[in-house]
Amino acid sequence: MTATTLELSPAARAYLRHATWGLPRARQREVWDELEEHLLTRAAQLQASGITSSDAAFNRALTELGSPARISAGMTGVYLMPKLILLAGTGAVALSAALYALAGGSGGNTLTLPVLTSPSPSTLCAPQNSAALALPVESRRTKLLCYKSTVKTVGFGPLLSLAAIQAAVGVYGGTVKVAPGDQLTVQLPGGQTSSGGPMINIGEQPFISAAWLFGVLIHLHPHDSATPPILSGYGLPRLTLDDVVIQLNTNSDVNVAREVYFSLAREAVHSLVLQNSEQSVGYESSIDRSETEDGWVQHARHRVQTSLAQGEVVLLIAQHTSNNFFIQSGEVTPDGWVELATPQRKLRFVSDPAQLGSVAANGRTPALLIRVTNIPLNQLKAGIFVPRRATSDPLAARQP
Amino acid sequence: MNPDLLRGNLDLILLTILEHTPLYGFAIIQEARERTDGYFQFKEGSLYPALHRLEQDGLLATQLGEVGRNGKPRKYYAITDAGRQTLTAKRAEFASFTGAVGQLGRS
Repeated sequence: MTATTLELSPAARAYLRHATWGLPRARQREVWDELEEHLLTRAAQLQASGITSSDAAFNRALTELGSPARISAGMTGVYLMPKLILLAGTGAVALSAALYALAGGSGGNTLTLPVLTSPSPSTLCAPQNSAALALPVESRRTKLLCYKSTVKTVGFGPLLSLAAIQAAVGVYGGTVKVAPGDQLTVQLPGGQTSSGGPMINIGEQPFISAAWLFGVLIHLHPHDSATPPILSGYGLPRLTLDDVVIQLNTNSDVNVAREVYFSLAREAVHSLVLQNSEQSVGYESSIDRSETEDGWVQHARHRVQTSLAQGEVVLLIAQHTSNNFFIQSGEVTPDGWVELATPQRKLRFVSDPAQLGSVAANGRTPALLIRVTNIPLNQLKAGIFVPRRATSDPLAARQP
Repeated sequence: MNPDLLRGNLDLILLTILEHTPLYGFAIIQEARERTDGYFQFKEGSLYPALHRLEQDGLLATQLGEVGRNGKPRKYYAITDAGRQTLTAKRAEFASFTGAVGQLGRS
């Protein structure tokens, strides 16, 4: 074979990043070198056999090597699963099953994480297949196991166990550390870190807000990535990141969806409205009523016709004052409607975030509608839309 | 060939290829093609996780060889004693299976 000097094509470099993404740092370099050598050798062989363009040779070599996600999942299964089983403690069985699925054992790259919800102040419920909690069982339903609990979870929202968070971060080769004060720090292989918390102990296991995990993974993902993060699903929110799907098993509890999309909406306000400035602002997302200077205001229900498909999720953002925003999320129905409740009675939908704020002379509050599912989250602006009817008046109040 | 057959016998195939000579990843694929006249068409991406798994299980050991096209030493895989024992057992298992299937056909 004629010796040919080749350099990796950009596509080949992206492929290697992708294929090694889910690995511990120590293994990442080793697997990168091995696959790089394979690609260079095969591309040189193809060139020697008559393919003149190096890009074409690399493309063929990449096609032969197959999906980088499959390599990543396969390697993750080799190097990450035993470590995670040790980390997971009582959650080991559920996690190994989840990672088995991730490694392609059940045909998909999906990591399903069980979410703990609180339907009442004294009850906590988790999917039946999640790790058991050291709490008295209150009831067993078809898919849900509920415990009696005196732990106050108000303010935490739906919860994920620390083991589940470690599993999700581990898929991307990252680590989770618990700092003093029960604050979590997530670090990904590129060195990016994000902190959050605090944790809460329930049934002898540490838990943290489920919405926080999605926020961290989205925040730490490289902004110029060729595979930007994508969210989908309302009752069962899914985050697709580098061909791996992180799915929250919520038992279709819409409160989880509201928390997840509320967290995303804050990012949207920060990037689209505040232009990533450090301005300190407040957010409100209550469902039924809001407290104003004039006391409590019952929300008005708005029904907006969209051209979106069933199941897409729409965010509504309106500005109360210069530093206070109201946020709502809703799921599109089969016939394209989305219902959103807001403290503002009359709305005018705008296409530019800069138009939010001042109420017009006709009493209409400007509001932004953003489709946030199945679009790249690093291009949220592309999701802004104005429905055919650009204003909305409240529906009649529900009969008691 | 049926990809399920290849997948189900991947360890046996890899240990057999490496039985007498240590090889690096790309060379293993070439060797499999040449020794079977192209019968084994690996999904190449599935090869590397399998090699790493066999290494983690102690059935293969690795050693660094000559410098490759990326300027780094190539990683050669060699069968270990445990790997040879496993190969013997897997060969016997495979022979029993194919023998039984053959008997079914003759009866």
